[in-house]
Amino acid sequence: MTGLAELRAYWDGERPRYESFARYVHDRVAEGLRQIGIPCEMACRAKTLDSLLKKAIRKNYANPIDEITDKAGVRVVLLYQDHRADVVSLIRSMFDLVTLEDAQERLGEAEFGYQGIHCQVRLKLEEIDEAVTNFTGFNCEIQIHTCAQHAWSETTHDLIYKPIVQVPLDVKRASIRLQALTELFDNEISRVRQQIMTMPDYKDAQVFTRLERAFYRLTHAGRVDVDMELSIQVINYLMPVYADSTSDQIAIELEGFVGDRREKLEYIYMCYQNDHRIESLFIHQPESLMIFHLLERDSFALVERWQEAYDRVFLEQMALLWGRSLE
Amino acid sequence: MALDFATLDIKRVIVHDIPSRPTTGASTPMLSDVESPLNDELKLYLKEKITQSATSSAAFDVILDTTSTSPVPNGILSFVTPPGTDFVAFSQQVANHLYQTQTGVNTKGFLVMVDCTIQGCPSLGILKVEREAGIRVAPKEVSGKRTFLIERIRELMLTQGTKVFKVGVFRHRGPGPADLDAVVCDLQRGQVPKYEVAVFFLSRFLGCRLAEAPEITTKRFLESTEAFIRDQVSDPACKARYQIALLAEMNSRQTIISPRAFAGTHLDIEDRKSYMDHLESRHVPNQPIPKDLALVKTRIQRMQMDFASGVSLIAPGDVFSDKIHLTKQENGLTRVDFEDQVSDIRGRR
Repeated sequence: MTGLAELRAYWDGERPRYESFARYVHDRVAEGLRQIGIPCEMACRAKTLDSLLKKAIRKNYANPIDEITDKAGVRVVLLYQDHRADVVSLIRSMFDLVTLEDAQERLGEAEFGYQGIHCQVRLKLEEIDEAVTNFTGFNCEIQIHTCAQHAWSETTHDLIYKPIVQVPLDVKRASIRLQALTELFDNEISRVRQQIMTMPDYKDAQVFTRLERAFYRLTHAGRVDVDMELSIQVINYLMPVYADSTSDQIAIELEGFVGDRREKLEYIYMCYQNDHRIESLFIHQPESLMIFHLLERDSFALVERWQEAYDRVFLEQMALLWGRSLE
Repeated sequence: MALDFATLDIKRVIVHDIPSRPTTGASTPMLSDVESPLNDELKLYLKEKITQSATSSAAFDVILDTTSTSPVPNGILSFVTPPGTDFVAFSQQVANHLYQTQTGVNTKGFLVMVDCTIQGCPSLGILKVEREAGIRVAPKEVSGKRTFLIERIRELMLTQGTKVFKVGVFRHRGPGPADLDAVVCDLQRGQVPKYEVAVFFLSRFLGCRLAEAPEITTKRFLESTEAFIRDQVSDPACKARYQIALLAEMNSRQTIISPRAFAGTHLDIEDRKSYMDHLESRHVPNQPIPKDLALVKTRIQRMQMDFASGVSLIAPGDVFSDKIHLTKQENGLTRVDFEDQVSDIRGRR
């Protein structure tokens, strides 16, 4: 009891700091992922007092303050499992990586199960300055998993692995089937994505992928805000404006444009991130980068092509956001 | 250096009510003592309105006229040059000057001063906008039945329909007083250049003048466009069509030449971009050009087409387009069809 009372008093005093620490780690990782263009959903939290006390009792820790390592937690939910390695690399470069557990590596060849990555991180000593001195010695657990793994973990994991009754064999088998399905789903998504990306006649994929990455890098848009089908439709439709350029050349040209105009683009996206007028609709889409590029490259050809399929009002608004008129 | 309005960041705005000056009796401007409260939505709206007007076909590059008697040029320089001057006091001075400058023909309205940055440089926007009216509609229940209350609102400005208005935007890219980029939009200026109302906003009120004499810019536009047609268009029929369009543009009653509009209206889509690039390389402004034919009057009356054999065709532009038909042959030569009555034959003078 004494240990728990101490833990409670400690957590009453310290939780706000852990909450700030979790937010700090969250924001740094989110910015890093934005910079390398990885779309994801993120959340952060400091453990609640209830949850902390229960964990201390359940695990029977001798020194729960030190032994509970997920007092601050950040979750990164990825669209594609191919991005897992990129996220780990980013975390390594940003923080002092205390431990890394990849649940995938623990599974035998005939086993299915949870496949998230858990990283224990703390601030690099050389980076602790006045602004973050409050967080010295704090650990944060960053969990990385895919949408499918997240869905499984949020629902089935708790039902099966934190049971109050002995789960019958057929229910356990059902759970294993779900785990297998999760793995299958992620692998198939990756395989299909890779196949599509390498199809010779899918010439616009590279342009779309690069635009999408650049867009996430420049904005704070979540993946749910973007209508991918519209993006692909508009990008495919505008490709002929680049005349004889190949998709590779277009992608390179667009990357150059984004690099050269980075500051201006970031500013525009920041200004209009909360603008939900109908005419500003395209500013929330990755193809906005292509529209801006074409406004500079050949606005005549853009206007001509655009008007055949879409309302001119949208283009006029994009031109205005780019700081010019279409007159 | 062109102003990049995408980077326009509005900091403060102040509004003054400027009545018209009656020929008899008195009126006084209603001046604000403090800036108007602003939120992000309003800032974006104003930014878009300014961009729309200052990049329209009625906007021209201007410079401060050091010989002007208007206090505005010096006031602008002092305001945008660090450490700057008091925004409210300066705006009141400009408002009073506007009121004093106006005559009976100038409409009443609001003076809106905008303290802002463009590309991070201290900048200033001076807007003269007219008071507008509209109808407000609001749902209401009357005796348990739904209806809409309609109400006339007279205190509006810069409504959705206001596309172009009088605005001057000045950016100090520093460090010297000459490092000032300025653009002024004034729809009336291009329409009726001979009347006083046309010089009122630019000259008498703002104390500015066009960055380049209009007759020089007009000449440069004509020569650059002719060079483009001569050097970069290969099809003779196309050359003739473009040349005829150029002469028509120069001889039209329009008082503004818009290179973009010219390209969009008369050139084939594949030539438009290279034409604009060509003009840029010859320092012809991308913006509209106030047309002044003083230096080109004689050369726009007729058009001449020379052939390899030494034959030349000289004709007024409209006759060329009506009577002469050019067809490119498979062997690379051009066939000219022309039917008319011979009225005279003479040796070349």
